[in-house]
Amino acid sequence: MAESGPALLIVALGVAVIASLMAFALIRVRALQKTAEKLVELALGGHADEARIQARNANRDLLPLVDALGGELSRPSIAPVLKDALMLAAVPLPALALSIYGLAQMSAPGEGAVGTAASLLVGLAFLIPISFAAGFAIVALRRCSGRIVRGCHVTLLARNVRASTEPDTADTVRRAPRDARGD
Amino acid sequence: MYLALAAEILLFGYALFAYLRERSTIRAFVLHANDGERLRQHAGRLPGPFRGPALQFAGDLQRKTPLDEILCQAMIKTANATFGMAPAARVLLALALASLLFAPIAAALIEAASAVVRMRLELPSIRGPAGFPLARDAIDPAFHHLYAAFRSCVVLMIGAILVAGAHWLLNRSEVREARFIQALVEAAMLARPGAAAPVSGRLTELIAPDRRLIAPIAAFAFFILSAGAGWVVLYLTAGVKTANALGVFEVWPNVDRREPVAPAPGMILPTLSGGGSPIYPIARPPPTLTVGPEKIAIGNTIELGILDHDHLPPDWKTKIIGIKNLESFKDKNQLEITVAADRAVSMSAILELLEYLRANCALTRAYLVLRRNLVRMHRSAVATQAVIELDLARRTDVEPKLARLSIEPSTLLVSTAVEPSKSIKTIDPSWRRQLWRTIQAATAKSPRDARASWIAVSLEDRDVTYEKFLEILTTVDDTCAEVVDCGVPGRGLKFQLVESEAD
Repeated sequence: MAESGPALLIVALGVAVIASLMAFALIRVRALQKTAEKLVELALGGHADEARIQARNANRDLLPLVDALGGELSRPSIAPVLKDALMLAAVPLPALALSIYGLAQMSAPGEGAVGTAASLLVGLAFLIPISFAAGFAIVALRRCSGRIVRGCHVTLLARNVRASTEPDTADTVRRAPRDARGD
Repeated sequence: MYLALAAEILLFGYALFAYLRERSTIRAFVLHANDGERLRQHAGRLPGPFRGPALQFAGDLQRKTPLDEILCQAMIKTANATFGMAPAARVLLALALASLLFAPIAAALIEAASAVVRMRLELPSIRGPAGFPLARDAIDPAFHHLYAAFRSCVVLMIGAILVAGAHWLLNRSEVREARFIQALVEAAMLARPGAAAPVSGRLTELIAPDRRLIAPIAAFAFFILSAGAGWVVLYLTAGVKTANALGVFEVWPNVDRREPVAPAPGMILPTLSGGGSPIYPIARPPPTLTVGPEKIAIGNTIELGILDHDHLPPDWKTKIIGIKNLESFKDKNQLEITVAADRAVSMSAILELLEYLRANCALTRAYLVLRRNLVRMHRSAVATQAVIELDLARRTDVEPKLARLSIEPSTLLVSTAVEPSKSIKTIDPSWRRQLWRTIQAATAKSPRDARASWIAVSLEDRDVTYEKFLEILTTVDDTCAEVVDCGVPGRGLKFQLVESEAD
């Protein structure tokens, strides 16, 4: 079964890459949650400018918060999707690579076609469900992070609306806040 | 498959139930906005993400907190509520869903791989065209299961899309949040009619769902592009789909050498839909016996004249002046010959020539040439040539005999170990299928032994045409039951011409 070695290597690498992508997406959501909470705490604690600077330097997913941290009445928007799109695009690549390798090996003359075919089938049996799960997880985690950013945005927006509708109390709201989340 | 379908139906029911339950509890919450105690009770019955904001909302209403502040706090809490599962749980859900959806495919893929490996272990020594039918028989059931598994997966995927669509429409976080905020505003209006709430009013306006056309247009474009991409993939793979539907295989070796034996002018070789072995290039190909209406010849040098009403010309024997030329084609003092005859020529003329060559030139074997139209996956059918091996030497060894065929006028008598005597009328439209099944039953018991066996053919009706004779032999040799040429070479059976029983 020497001919199935490269195919199984592709499968192993593919599973590792997909698992890494899922882990990366999960860690990213957790980090985003932590950073977003910290930024809101800073902003509500009267350090809006510092929070804004941190938001600019932090993850691009937090960019929608920058305007709200600056006191603007902006609608909650969607964070850039490029990273998630790239991650999603990378998910089916191992299965595609395995298919291309397998078909090329089977088309080539030689004795290895049977072993390659078997390893291609086994590889796809693992890679298809794992790729689907990874794609689903990345989209679900993306929605999760979007929800976190939206929650923070609404919290900041409430402060900004108060400030805009009651200009006299704007400083009070900013400097001596009641916990805006009601906790 | 059925377990997964049941799970999908349960999930669909759950999505619908969750929506209806949430809507009814929210409605009850709004209806009791005037009654502080009952509002608290109904707040406690709301789904988890709304319970906290609703309880605080009800408590603040009772405590006479300013309405604007109450609404703002409730909205902020709702926006920060976690709908659905935690991130890690979402990953686990994705794995569980993928396992559920793709379990049939994964199982069938592994089964197919096992069949492929088993086939290699069981048939290690078989090479060449004869291996195709055996390999196909060994792995075909597993690939049929794989096909069925993909169909099951499509059904499951459609179910999953319906469940996801229902969930997205009724229970996605944005919809639930908007539904609850609307309920909060309505409850506030009922509890404190006429009270002003400028901050929460403006906040509601800002966080209201985006109703611009950009998102629907983008979604429309995305789905059009996806559907277009799907159609392109279907178009590009249509050949494979057609081949699968017809049951054809692109396994004919060296297909680019299309017609190695050039037929004489005016000659039409019989075109048949199965059987025969590919013609491989060899250093010293046997000479070709051409029997056409306008030309009878051996090789390029020995011209024997033309056919006269299906009979050889009277002086044909005297014209074999170059008979010594055939000596150079002999191997171990034995001669083999390729026969390319017009489809309408009677076998009596061909046999007369072959018997003469057997008697005078040590002819032992003839390769009868036929044409096959192979259906290609990405192109139109390609014509190629195949041969049926007909042994002319009188057999003295005791090699096992698979079957005996007796070709009589409009009747075939078949005798095998399974069916000692079977008569098939060749005027019956299903005669080919009957003959194929009889031979298939005889070879099914031991396919490898069948490959080494030979079939005795006695020609009682010598006026049968070359085409009909080959049609009978290729039906026996054929590996496919389909009417369309399946593209697989024949079993490679050897036919032995034997004397008729009457003789």
